[in-house]
Amino acid sequence: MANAHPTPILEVRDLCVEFDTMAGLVQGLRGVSFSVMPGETMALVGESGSGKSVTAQAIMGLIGLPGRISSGDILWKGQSLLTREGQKAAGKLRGKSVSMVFQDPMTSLNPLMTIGAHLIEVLRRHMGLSKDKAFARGVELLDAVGITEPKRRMGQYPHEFSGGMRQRVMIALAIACEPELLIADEPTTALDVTIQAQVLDLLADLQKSMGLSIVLITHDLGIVAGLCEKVAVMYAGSIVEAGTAKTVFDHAEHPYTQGLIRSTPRLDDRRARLISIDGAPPSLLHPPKGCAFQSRCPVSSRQCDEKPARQATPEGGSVSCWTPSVAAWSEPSESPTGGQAR
Amino acid sequence: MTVTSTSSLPDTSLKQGLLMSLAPVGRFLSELWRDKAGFAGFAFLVLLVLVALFAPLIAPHDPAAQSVMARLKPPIWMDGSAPGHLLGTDMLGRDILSRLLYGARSSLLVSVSVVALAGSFGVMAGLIAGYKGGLTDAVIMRIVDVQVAFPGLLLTLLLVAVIGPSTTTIIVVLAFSNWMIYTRVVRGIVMSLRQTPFIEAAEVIGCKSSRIIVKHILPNLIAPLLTLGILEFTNIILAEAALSFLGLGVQPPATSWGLDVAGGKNYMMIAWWPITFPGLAIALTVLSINLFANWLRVTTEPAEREKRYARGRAAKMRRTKA
Amino acid sequence: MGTFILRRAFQGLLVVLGVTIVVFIATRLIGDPAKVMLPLSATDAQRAAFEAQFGLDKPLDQQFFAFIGDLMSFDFGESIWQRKPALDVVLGKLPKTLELIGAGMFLAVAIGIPLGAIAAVRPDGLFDRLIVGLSLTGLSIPQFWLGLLLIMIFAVGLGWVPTSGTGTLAHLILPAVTLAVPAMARIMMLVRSSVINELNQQYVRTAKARGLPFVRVLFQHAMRNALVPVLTLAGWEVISAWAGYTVVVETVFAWPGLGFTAMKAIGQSDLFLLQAIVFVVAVGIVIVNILLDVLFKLIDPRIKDA
Repeated sequence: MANAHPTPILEVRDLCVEFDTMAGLVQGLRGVSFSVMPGETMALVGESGSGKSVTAQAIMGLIGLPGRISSGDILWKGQSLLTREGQKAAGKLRGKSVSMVFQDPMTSLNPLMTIGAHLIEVLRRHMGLSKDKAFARGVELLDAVGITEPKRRMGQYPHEFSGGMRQRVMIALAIACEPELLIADEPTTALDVTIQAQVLDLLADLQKSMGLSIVLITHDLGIVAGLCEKVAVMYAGSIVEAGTAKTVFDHAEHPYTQGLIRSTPRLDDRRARLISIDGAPPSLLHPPKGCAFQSRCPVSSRQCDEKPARQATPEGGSVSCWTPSVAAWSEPSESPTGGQAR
Repeated sequence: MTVTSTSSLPDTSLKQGLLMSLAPVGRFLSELWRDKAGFAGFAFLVLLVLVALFAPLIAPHDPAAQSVMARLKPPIWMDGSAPGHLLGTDMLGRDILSRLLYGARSSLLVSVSVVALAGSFGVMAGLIAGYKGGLTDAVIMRIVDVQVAFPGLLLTLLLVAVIGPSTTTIIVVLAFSNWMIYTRVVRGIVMSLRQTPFIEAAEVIGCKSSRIIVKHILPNLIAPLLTLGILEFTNIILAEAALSFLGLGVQPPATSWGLDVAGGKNYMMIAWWPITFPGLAIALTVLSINLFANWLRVTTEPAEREKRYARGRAAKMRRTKA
Repeated sequence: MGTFILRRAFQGLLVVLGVTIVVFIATRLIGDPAKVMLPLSATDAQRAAFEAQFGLDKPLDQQFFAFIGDLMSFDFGESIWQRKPALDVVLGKLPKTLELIGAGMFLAVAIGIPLGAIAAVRPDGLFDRLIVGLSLTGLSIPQFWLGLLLIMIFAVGLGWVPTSGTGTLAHLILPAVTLAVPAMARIMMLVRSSVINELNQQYVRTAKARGLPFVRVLFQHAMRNALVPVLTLAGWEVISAWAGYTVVVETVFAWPGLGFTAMKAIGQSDLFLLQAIVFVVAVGIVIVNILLDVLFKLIDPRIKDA
């Protein structure tokens, strides 16, 4: 895993994104940095509103006015995508070398175009295929993502597909041009649990067979463990902790990460009580000066009035906390009353 | 984000109460001021209503007074104008400004009556259809569907032709051919409201239907009906003007803007003012209503407001970038 | 598709029946044909003769069935003004009205759709404000007044086109523009809001994320979806123009179509001719409605036979 590659395929440096709303300037991203190596799978985890999707949109160049990237940089194989020349290059990359699967497969396809038309459109655009070749390739792709009778399905409209099938189509569209990086934004959230597993398996298979890098955006820690090598945890527009999946899960440093793990039900550990993190994330309209998690943190102190710097952890990850690795959430005592009640 | 202080002193509460009762008016005006076009429209409408109410006091002349000597005199700023006739005179020597002021009465009388008549009937039908459902609903909506597909203006012409044109006739006929839209809108809202938990809860508790309608459904109808009514207003003003222009609406000696345009039509080769001013009056009135309605629609919907703001900011950011 | 058309045709029949009833009530119950059509000086004997000739002396139910029977056999009576069967007069005037509506609606759609779409690309931008302003103005100007202004400026003032009448393409321009303006304004507004709405849809985002150029996203994706409501409106515009809103324009320009004839019929107290026009137009509305429904089914695959 520690395949020390010289240049990451994608690097995000200190990225800040602002949205100008009626209420004021909302700071969607407040200095996000991470990098993805070729063939690597990274998870971007956090609750809704933490900035995961905004990060993805920024990479895909989908931040529309009145939102804008206010500072920071996004680099593709070491080249900035935000400079003037970079933006031109980015236009060619998007959809071809970097592609994206969105959360809601129900609304992500044009209702008036057949599935085939969607596929043929991108294949002709990015791969320069003729109409016939694009059709043939489209059939192969549908087959590859596990859609039966692909030929007949090519002529059907999105409303004739179920949610899971549509997400497969979205994946087929995303891998159509043999991308190097796939960003999957909550790809399974809108799907039934059984379908979720199928779609995740499909992503894992594709990742292996195509050597894809994947950035998986999710709020569900449960699906991260099986698929991803690296994890970055986002909170209130910044990354609070990052590292390999193993270190983050086994030695969570940040109180928020610890809380997140402890609030996720686990099949293999029935005894551990779930905890809940009280309160709500801070408003990004007026984000706190210090640590954003301070108000909800069980182990916060005076120090936390100042913003903690990002620091390396002994396990090779990084964390932004003044008191990392403190067990923030005391083990819920096996309370005698609770025991008696059962 | 209004924070009401729970520990207000007793002697200030009276003042506060007074301010609170005036606050909606102030809020309305300051909100309106943000949209300059909407504000201008509203101001023009207020002016129009005042003019219509006080026409006899303001009008410099009797709108029906003819004068052979002062026929087709141009407006005051042109050569050959007659003193005292600010906007000139028409082919019978009648003062155009005075006729405009009185014409506002016809327009408002007809449009207010039609909107009130068609609106109340249409809303009733919609409430009944939406609330009763079943066969009642099917019958009412079928009538609506059929009537919507009627050859509207032609049927109006036929009706006016057999009944004989008059102000009352056009009020009745226009109300007859314009009630359906209210029914459709109201029924749609009632149907969707009936499925909301709070109405279902009220029904389960055993609230009377009349109480549910008055207490729960009517308040939700006010905003959409207001917008609809205002937009219908423009349609009726234009319809009245068109019918009067065709000679099937308001009849002389009463005045109407449409009637005045028709009167000036035959002289338009030699005099532009007899048709220009009444036409302008119609256009400005309708434009004002449209601008105000536009503001109202955006303002009553929070999502629309946010969108409007976002679009404005985006446009500004693009301009500064360019 | 067959049952679908049948259903629509049945609903259309209901409309025609509704119109029949309203016309019957209007002409036989509310109004008195003898009073409308005969001169004021007519004697009682003349009145009786008139009523006997058209069966107006019979009981109402008999009158009603006779009325429907006449309609079914396309007998609309004789036009008193033109002295020939009313239906012939109407069919003779029909092409002129169709020509006007065709030209007007073509202008409204051909200008309204592109301008609305361009305005939507940069909402609240300079061009957008211009378009919104123009649309609001177009919606607010009374059509008859617009027609007169155009005559005053382009026919009387500049002398570019004839003031009224028919015959050449030059005759058609002003009436067509006058008919088009309010429809164009409504179409522009709807295209604009519809395209703005579609451009914010998720599928547009995904299309952008697939690296498709903006022009393609706009035309291939957003416009296609935006046009569904626009076509509904365009269809409605055709119907409402057909349903009598050409009357005003035809009167202003003395354009010898159905509307102009309807006004003449009123002027001549020619009730039978007016009736015939109302019926032909009602049937026309039904036909146009069915055609539109079929068109929508072809465009939008989501519409089921329901």
